[in-house]
Amino acid sequence: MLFNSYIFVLGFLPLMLAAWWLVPGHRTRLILLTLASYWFYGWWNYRFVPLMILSTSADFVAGWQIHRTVSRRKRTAWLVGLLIFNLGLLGIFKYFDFVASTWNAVLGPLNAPLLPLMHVVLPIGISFYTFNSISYTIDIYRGRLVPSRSFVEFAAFVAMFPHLIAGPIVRYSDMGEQFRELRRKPRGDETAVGLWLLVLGMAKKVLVADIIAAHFVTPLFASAAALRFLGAWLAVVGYTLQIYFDFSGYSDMAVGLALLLGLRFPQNFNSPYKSANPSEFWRRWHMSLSFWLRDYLFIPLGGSRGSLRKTARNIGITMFLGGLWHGASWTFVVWGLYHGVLLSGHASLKRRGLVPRSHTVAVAATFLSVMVGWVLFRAESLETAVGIIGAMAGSRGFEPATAAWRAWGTPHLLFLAAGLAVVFALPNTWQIRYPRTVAAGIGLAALFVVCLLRFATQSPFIYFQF
Amino acid sequence: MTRRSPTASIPPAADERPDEVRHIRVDTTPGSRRFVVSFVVAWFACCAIVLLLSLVVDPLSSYGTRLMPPLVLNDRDEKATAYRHLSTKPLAIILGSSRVNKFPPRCLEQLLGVPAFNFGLNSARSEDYLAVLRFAQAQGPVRRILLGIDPEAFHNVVPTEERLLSSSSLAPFVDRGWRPRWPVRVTLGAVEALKWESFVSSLRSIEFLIAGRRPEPVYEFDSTGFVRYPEVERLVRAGRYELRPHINLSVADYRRRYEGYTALSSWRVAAFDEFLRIANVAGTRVDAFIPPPHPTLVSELAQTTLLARTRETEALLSDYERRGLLHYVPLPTLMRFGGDSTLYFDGVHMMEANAVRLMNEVYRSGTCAVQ
Repeated sequence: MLFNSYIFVLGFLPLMLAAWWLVPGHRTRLILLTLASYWFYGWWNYRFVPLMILSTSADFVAGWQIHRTVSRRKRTAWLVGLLIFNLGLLGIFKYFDFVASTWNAVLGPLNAPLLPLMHVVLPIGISFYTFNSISYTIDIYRGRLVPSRSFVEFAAFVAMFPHLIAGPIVRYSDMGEQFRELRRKPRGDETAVGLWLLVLGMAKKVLVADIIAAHFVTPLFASAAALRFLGAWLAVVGYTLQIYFDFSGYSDMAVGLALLLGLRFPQNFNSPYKSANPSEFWRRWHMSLSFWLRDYLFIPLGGSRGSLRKTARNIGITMFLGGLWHGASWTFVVWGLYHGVLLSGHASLKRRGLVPRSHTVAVAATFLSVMVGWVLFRAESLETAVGIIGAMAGSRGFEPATAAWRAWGTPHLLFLAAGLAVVFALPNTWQIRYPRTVAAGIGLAALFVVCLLRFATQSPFIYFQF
Repeated sequence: MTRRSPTASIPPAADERPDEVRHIRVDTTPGSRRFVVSFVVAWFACCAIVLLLSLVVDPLSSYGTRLMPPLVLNDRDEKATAYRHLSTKPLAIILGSSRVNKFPPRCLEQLLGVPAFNFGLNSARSEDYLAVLRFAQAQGPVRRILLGIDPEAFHNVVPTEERLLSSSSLAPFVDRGWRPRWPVRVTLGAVEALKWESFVSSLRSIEFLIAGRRPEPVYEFDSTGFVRYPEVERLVRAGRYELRPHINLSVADYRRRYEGYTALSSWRVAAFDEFLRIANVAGTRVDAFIPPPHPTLVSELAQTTLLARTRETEALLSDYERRGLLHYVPLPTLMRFGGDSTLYFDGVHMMEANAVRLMNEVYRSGTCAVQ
């Protein structure tokens, strides 16, 4: 089920909220949340609900085994076993065909035995809920977390619908206490902010990201081979804005929905395009993933405590896996490595005192670097990506600006410019102090109805595919 | 090995993430409750206004209220009326969804030597085929049917088209059991009314009513039921029609259509059984094929149930052929009939040139030269 669908807004959400606040009993409410979330998930494909229940059960049991066992070796064995199980599921559903096709392409010509492709359907959100669960088990192993005493509570944490499909990646330490102290009645201020975030997030997605995609990104990337200088820049600027408004819109909706249930989620975006260096960018973009990769991968690898070379290696491994997490494709791998190079390069320049002194120059350089990265992220192949990057550099020539202006239309270009102004000049949805007047309530409701009217042209969120 | 008590508590270490990142802070501002109430009331009021507008204006002929002149006609009603008023009753009809809209009846006339009519209807499913056949038989004999059958004709979730149920000509031929219960009809009608297209069309309809002029129709059909898309075809002729964006729209649309389409509907298969039964009793020969979608749409929907439902539909049609109830022509690829992937309007609707090639493949005994 999509947040931007009639069934969700007119059916699932009102019923869920009514039931959540009316049903008595702490445990009953968590059961309700879990079952409703399974329904929400199963609406797409019910066959994958048992897979999630299996993964949840394994994590719950392993969490307790790790906590109860004193022997370090056995604790480690439980952890490794669970990681193999979780990453194995991810590997089979997400990466098997990628590995097999790469194997076949590289070793096939050398007469090596070919691996069969499984063509399995990727369960939506598996990357997100797997990472949620892995953080839970590792935190228990590290002694930072007491396992949940209630399976229902843990199942609700893994499955709860606001974050289930596309994050933010929530940790049990964020939610456990909140689950144990569920409020009986909704708080007016939480509901008000929740509504603001839900509607603004939906508007970001439906009224901004989808329109940019329809007018610029989709047609331009579809004719990537023919793009020249201006077309390539429009495509990339368009996608840079689309992915931000799409994904941050989804995250705002998730946080808003959680607030409507009286729960609080972590921040996932903090005006990432205002960043002055790649490191800052990753502290502001998809923050829940960045912090996850930092805490569960980069730091255990040694972090930035050693030499510059070791730091670069750790960054490289982390970003390689971060890229691969986004999708089973070489474009994502290269995108991850590209960001690894940016981060390592920045660390190196910083140690040598060679970073730009002007904040504006630093922000512009970071934004440009990130945009180049998005070409790798969006393009259907590395070859296409290289072609577009070349076109951005003028390798395919220049079209007359007036012709391009006419072709794309003043309103659409102004829309794009307004999008850039929003990401650079305005506060983000976590920084706004939301008005609570009657007029604001009416205005927000009208905006919500406009979003609702646009659902018929619904499109899935970009991060659903991960 | 010793075991710790399950209740043993390890104090959680400090989280490395800044506190303001871990949880959103909600400031306490007076007036929150009033804001929430005004939001909810305004939301219901706005939705009610939009619903009422769509219902009263009925710009897309969805509800049959007919209180104002609609922008789009109910093709079921219009085609049935056109059929009824034909002086020479057709002996052959082209049936199917909008995917057969560009199949020229003149071509079928050349191939079969009998007058033909295109009874293609938007989003037609098996119950539409049956209603049309019953309606046509009530007007006179039908000897041949060319049926372009989509896998969606057997959708197991989507209920009977409101346009069929509200059609004064075809609704009498609809079995009572196919009518969804009123809560389903009301819900679907409300969702339809809450679409941008309905809302904007309502405003345009009112604007045209006030200005006293009519817009150019999105599509129109001639006395043989053959559909034309005036604006789109003008763009195609001028070489200014961009196919790819329209394929993208179809991909999004069909992804949604196949969401939840988990199996062929048993009642729709039963309706199709009935369609074939009465066709056979009347001695009507049915030639069926599945109109192939654009290859890009097929590849982009590889993760959906499109392929599985298509295979099931193929198997069903093959089974009917074995039982002698219809003649099925498998057309798995465009190559099979010399189709051209550039001769599509979008991801599913082929242009006339492709349609003619396909008809020539179905009726190999003759050749149609209509272009």
